[in-house]
Amino acid sequence: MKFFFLLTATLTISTFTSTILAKPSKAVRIERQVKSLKEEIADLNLSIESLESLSQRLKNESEAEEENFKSRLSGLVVHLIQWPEKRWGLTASSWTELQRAHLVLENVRQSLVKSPLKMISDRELRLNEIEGLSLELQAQRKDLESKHSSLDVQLKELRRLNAKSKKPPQATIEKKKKLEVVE
Amino acid sequence: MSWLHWIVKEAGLQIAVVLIGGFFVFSWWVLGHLDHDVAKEFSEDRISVIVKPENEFEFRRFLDSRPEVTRYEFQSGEANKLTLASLYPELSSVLKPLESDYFPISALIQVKDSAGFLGALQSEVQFFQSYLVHTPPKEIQHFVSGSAIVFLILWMLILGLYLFFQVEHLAHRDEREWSLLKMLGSSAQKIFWPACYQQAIRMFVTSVLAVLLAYWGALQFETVFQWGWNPMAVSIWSQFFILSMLLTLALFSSFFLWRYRRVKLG
Repeated sequence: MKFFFLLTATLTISTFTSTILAKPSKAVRIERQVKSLKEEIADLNLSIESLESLSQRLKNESEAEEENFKSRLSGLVVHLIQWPEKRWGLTASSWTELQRAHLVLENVRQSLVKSPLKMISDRELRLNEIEGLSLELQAQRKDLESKHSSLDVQLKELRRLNAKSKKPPQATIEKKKKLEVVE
Repeated sequence: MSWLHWIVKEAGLQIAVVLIGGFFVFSWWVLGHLDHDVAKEFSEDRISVIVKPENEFEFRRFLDSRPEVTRYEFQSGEANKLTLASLYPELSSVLKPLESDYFPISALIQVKDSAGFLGALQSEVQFFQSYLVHTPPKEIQHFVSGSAIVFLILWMLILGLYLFFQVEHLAHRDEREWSLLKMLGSSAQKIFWPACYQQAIRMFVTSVLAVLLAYWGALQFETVFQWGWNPMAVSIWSQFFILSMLLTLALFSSFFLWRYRRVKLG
């Protein structure tokens, strides 16, 4: 009977010990995960902030560039567009040279007319890219935050379990002590 | 005052013959240049292509591979900018602040068979932005040839008018002498040739003046419009002299005979 009781007690102790040893390692792992998630979220926040500042800088730069283009080239563009299409170049050495000059001038005009549109579309493209990246990062942050909250819940649960599991061994010890006293 | 009237009339007509003759020789020279030199320039088909800067090397390889291409020449954006600025000095202040990126790379290609080459070119649209098949300046040729014909007709008309008045003047002055000769049955050649020599000399001087005027005009034209002009060939002004002399002889003799027949006997 005594042997049986001792065996039972040993088994119970070993079970509780293993539980106690096992539970904290999982908790530590989750804590680590939570910690790393927090770091990731912080990193993502930083990235989002830097992207936002980059987007703002880009907007400012584009505006400045457009303003510069406008002030520098608007007069020139108007002048070139108003220039007659087939003006007689008096210093041309041949008819071919004159026709070639007309072709080149026509292309210069086209590229000048298209350049503001190209500038605007480039800006839109870059801003869209940054916005897309920012949205992606925000979605990633949300994902990590949800993961973080679920892990937080798990961690709390584990801590609660740990706290509960820590109590029974103390009771058994007290029971053991009482038994020893009785003996 | 009749002598003043006569001088004004004669000098005015002579000046008109010189001016219109000069314009005719000048337009003849321009037409000759257009017909000869421009035709020589277009002996082979020429095509200008605006090449995409990123595909310049591939386009050169494409040109090297085409058997129709006899010669090609590339011009960079910067070179095109300089060419435009030199062609249009009024635009140089506008072109100067523009970066070279705005100016395309162009290629001038000489081909034996433009249709074949264009077919191949259109299948390689990734290499170029636009192209132009050069054509001779037909409109200018038509305009100059039209001007030459108009000046020729005007010159002949004024020359005829001038000679007509000269014959009238001679007939009015020497009517009695002509009548007497006619009555005596003498040959009209006795009075015709001296009068004809006189008119021929006048017309020679007028033609010289017209050629000098055209030559001066051509020199001025060459300085203003630098299009590789050839100097006025000897053939142009010598042909003009011959034409002028033959026409003078023909018109003067016709007018003289017509007027001589109308002189009354006695």
